[in-house]
Amino acid sequence: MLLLSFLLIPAAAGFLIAFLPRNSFSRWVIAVPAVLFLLVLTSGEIPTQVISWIPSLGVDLALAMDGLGSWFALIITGVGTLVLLYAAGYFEDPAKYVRFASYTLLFMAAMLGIVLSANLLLLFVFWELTSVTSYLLIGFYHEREEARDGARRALIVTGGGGLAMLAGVILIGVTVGSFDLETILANGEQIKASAVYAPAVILILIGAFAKSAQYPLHFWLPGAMEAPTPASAYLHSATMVKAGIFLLARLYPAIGDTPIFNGTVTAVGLFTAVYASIYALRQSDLKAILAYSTVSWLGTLTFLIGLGTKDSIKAAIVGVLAHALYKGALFLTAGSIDHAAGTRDIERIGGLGRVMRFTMIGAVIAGISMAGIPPLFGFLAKETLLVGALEFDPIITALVIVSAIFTTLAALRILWDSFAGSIPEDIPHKPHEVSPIMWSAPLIMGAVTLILPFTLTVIDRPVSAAVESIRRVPSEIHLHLFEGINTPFILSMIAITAGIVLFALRRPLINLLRRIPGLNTSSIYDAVIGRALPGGALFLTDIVQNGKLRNYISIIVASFVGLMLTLLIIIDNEILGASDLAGADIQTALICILLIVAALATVLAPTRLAAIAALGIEGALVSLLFAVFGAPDLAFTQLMIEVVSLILFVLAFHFLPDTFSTRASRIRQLRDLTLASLVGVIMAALVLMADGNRLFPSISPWYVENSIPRGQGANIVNVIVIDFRGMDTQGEILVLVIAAMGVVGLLRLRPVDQPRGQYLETDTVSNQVDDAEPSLPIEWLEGNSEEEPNS
Amino acid sequence: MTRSLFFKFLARAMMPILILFSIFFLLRGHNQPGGGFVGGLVGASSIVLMTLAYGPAEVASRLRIDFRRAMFWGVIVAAIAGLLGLIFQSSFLESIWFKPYIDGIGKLELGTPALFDTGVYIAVFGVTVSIVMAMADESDREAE
Amino acid sequence: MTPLIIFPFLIPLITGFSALLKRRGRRRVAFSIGVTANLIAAVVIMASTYDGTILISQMGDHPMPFGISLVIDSLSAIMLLLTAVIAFLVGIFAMATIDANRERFAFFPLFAFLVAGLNFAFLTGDLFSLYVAFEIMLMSSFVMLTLGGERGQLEGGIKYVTINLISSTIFVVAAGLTYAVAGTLNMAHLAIRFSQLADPGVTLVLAGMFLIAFGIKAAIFPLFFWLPASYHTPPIAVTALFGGLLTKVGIYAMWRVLILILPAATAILQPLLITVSIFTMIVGVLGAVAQMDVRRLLSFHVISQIGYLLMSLAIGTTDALSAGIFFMAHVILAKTALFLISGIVHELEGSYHLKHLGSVAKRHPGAAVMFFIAALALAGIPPFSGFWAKFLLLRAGIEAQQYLLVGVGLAVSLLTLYSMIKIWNEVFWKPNTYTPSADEQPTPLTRIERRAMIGAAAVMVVLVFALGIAPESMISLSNRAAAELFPNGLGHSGYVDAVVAASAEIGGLSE
Repeated sequence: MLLLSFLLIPAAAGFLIAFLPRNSFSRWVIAVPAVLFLLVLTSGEIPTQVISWIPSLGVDLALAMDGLGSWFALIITGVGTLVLLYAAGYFEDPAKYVRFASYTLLFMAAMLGIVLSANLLLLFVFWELTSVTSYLLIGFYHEREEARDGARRALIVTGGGGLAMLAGVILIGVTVGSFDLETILANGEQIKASAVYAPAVILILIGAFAKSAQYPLHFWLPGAMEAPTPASAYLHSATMVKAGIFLLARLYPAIGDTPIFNGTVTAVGLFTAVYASIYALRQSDLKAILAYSTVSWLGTLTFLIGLGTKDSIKAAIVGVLAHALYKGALFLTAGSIDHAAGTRDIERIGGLGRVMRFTMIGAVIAGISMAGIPPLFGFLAKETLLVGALEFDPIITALVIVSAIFTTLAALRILWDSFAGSIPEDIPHKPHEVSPIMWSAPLIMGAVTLILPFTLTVIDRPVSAAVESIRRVPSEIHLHLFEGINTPFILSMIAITAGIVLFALRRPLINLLRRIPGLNTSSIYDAVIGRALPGGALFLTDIVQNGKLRNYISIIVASFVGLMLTLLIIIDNEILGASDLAGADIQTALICILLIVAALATVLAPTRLAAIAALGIEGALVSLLFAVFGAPDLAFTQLMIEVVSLILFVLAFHFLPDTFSTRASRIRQLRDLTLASLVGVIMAALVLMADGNRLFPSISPWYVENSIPRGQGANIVNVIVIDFRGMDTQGEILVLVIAAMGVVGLLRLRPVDQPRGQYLETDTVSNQVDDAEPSLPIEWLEGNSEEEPNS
Repeated sequence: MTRSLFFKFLARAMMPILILFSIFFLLRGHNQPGGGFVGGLVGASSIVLMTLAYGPAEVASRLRIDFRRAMFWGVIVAAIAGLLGLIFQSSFLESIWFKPYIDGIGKLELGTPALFDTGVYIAVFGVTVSIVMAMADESDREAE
Repeated sequence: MTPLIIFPFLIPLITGFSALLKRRGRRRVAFSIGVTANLIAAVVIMASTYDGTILISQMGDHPMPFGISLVIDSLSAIMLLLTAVIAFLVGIFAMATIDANRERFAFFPLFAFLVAGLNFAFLTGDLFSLYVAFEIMLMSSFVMLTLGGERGQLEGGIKYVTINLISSTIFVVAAGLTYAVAGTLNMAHLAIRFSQLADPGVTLVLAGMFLIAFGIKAAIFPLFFWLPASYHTPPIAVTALFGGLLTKVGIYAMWRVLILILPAATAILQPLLITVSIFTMIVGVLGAVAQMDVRRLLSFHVISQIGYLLMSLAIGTTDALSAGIFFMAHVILAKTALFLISGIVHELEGSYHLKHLGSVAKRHPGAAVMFFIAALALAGIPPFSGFWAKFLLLRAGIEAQQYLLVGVGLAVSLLTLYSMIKIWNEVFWKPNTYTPSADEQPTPLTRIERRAMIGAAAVMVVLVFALGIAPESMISLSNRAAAELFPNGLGHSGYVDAVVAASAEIGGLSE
């Protein structure tokens, strides 16, 4: 299984190096992505390969490499190789390098899984795995609070988006009846016609937008810059954040080409592109500038998918590669600068070109590409973008140009302020050139950016294949760097010129931008996740779980009363009428009245002893009732139990003060009285209801008939207890034994620091818990104590 | 705890009667009101009386019966009665009756349900006494 | 074979008595043999029911519905196996970590009796026997909860037992009223008789009573208070055993009684079930979000997950029930694993408090890996078990067009992820700056104890992982279990039909 091995090799390598000895030999792990890159490059398109996994769910390990998948797989493995190469120099501690490489390889496996899945649910599985590995990488330096927060933020936002997407995926899967991607893509008409189309699209878009950092869910990406710079270059610029773009492209045949899809995607993408390109200027941290400009470019790509024409799709495909190359190189450069100068703050560095020549060369090529200046690859990307945009509204074109101007400006600013001028006095480290291993990676990316425009025929076929897999019509595409002086070219030149002009005016412009409100949604996240959620949760939990047993009991009993009343009303049964109450004789009635009196006496008794006595009378009356109804066995047993429990009560309450220590307030007493009476009334009603609704013949005559023949005994009760239903008795005596074990255990075993006799410390019993805390304050028994607080 | 002489005498006198009664309840239970459960309670009440009269320490040292052990044996005996049915018949708790006629006593009704009932008797007896003794013991220690 | 299905009850019973032996070594050998035998019995039962056979035995050989039936359908077999696995692993964990005093006061016998009660509940096909099983569980769990007599334990124990006794009371009254109305207590017989009713009538009230009785046991909203009040107080082995299994029996009982016996009434209660399910999920997870003690945090999650399980009932389709059964398997394994891992951290670092812990990922990477897997499983991240559980439930909800339930389920799952990240960030990632107090020292453990403790948790995590990577057999098993239980509208279900067929052989159910 070739395709499966594409995933298994990096995954296995990721696990393995974590367990192998950590030394400089670990660096050879870069062979893994390099080999994969060559494999993907040489294998071309591969049709679906299926291994059965969870047939009950219709989830198989179905993998395929079409043009789109292959295009992304090349970027994933190619950039991955260079990033691992760079990281070998970036991490001086081999243990750190191994951890980084391990996470990165696992991420690579997951990311390849996304682009190669031929099953939508399988794709989702890998989708979430990239979020998890990203979490681990952002939190790489987890001693730092910012790193932990950034990691959490990224996982909450992308994971939350993923959940929305999951709902969308299920909606589509249920509609089509399959999660097989080919089936879903072939049934686009059915999906679009179904009632759940609109919610499904919105849900999937939320997932894609969260992953690809579209406004207003973009803010996690700048936060993710806490990751080690190679990880930022790889995950948060070149690959993972493009997963959302990939998904939109992948699902385009199934859910695209409708006003709701294209409208939303175009609008969100364009707004993000413009917003983030301007917002990037407010930043002074190199990585933050790069992060916002990444968000901006992701917006552009999203927007291009939303346009949905052949030209715009082509622009998106080219743009993915162009961006991966130049932005990857620039991120790595930022890492090198941080490494060399001890800071990434663009306002504290300068003149680095003097000492970091090789780094500068790579960076300048990448920066020029980012600025869209010919003849670099970035220029081609912008050209195709403008061609795509020009088919539509002039306003759209204008906005695209605005975004392009600010991107040019950002690129120039990065290059100039880092490398030109003189080295400031207060720079934290005296800068030096980084190791060759570190400058070679961006340099290679730069070289590709530089060479590719002149060998465009090499990528004609892959780009065409990728466009075909999205648009599902044969598309022959030939890329040309320079197509003559036409509208896109002129607009492009205008953008570059404007960028250069603004660059000259950058200081007042940045100051101006910093003063206008930023519309940044991360403050909303902070307010909700950082404060409202934990605060609200604590507030609510303190109300619900308030530590008072009497409140708990009241709520539970009230629930019972409420539900029973409702149901009794609903069934509208002639409860009382159906039951034969007339048969009751005066004797029974008298016992019942006495029972009520005894119950009241128990509750109202002023002392514990009196309450016990009343309870004993209550029990005796019940056994009398049994006797009246001809159950001498029960009556006698009940009586014996009453006697024994009376003794137990006396022995137990011996440990407690005779009078009740706390008196409830009037309101509480009233509440308790109401609830208790209601329970009594409802229980009575329930019994009458059941008695009046004996809907089926009872099985009890069988016991009477079979007592002697089967059970060899004339006492039916006894035969039932020890023979017919002996199993229950077996269980019940076990209960008794366990109870006895509990009594003994509780009395004999207590913490060593708790002397005997504390159960009796009536003096200290009060509502204040003082230093000599009794082990069992009376409040607990009476339900007035507090649990430990909730947090 | 102060214990009156009269109460001690009463408890002592009652004890054999109650024990006899309890066995009587157990044996006749299968055909007339009674049975292992109530029998066990009655039997236990004799020891409970003694405990209240003489104190748990004295009762324990004189009787030399480990009631906590006994209660476990009760459940075990009941389970054995059930297992006999499983082993010699077809299912758990299935009854096996054995009714020998012995001169001078009459027909004996021996069966696994009776054995089961005996288990119940022992368990209830043991549980009740164990709990009461443990609690009385506790209150005695408090008083010291 | 069939009469032998009593063994899951007898083995732990006998184990309990053998574990009363005086000598510590023998006691432990007896207990180990017992939990192993219990596991073997559960595996054998699973193997014999794997082809769809439903095993039935009549206690005392008295015919149905007069004698007590033991019935093992797929659902019972699953629950028995899960219980046996948990008992085995938590048993090992307990042998490594429980203190000598608790052991002297019959900790292991109580453990075994609790398992006997659980197994009895899963075996019985009789409503009143189910009550007896609940009593065994309640009593043994209460004693285990309070054994040791520490302040917090007693306080929690009183709330636990008081509230659960309310449940028992309602349960026994409901069983009695059911007997009055239907004249029988055998579950299959009840299902047949109630299916003959033209309209649910009084059975609606019965269903409401059972919902409250089992709802207290299962810790649904607003009846759950006993759980957060008590679960964090005993030793962690006890918490793991309870958190994994006890509340789930409440859900099991709801499935048995509300779906098998009272489907018509349950359908009317659907709006209530939906509301309760939503509130249980939300209140549980918010409670978890608020906590700073790992045990309390996980305890609140138990409630939240009960909400998900209740969702299976609220959606009320066969698919939802099947999803619920899979969810049950997942959550029992994952939750127990998490409790055990928090126990490991406590033994090694001396605390459960998020503020008092830190850097555990660096100091104990093994524990970190285990926690990470189990936490992601609980949060429903693919490809771990919780994802499939969540997916199945959501799909069932979407198919039944219960969009509100689905939406809340998704949101709660995000909050679950949030609270798992909270533990991870605080316990495993944050640098530890806290100076532990005297009672927060790590427990000195022998090497064997340490290995046993970590080994038990590791096996648990491997099981969670395996359920995520290879869920197919569990999913198809859940599908079959749901199909056997779910009535087809005419009072027939795989369960009822099997019991009727068996009773035809021995001459019961004559109507």
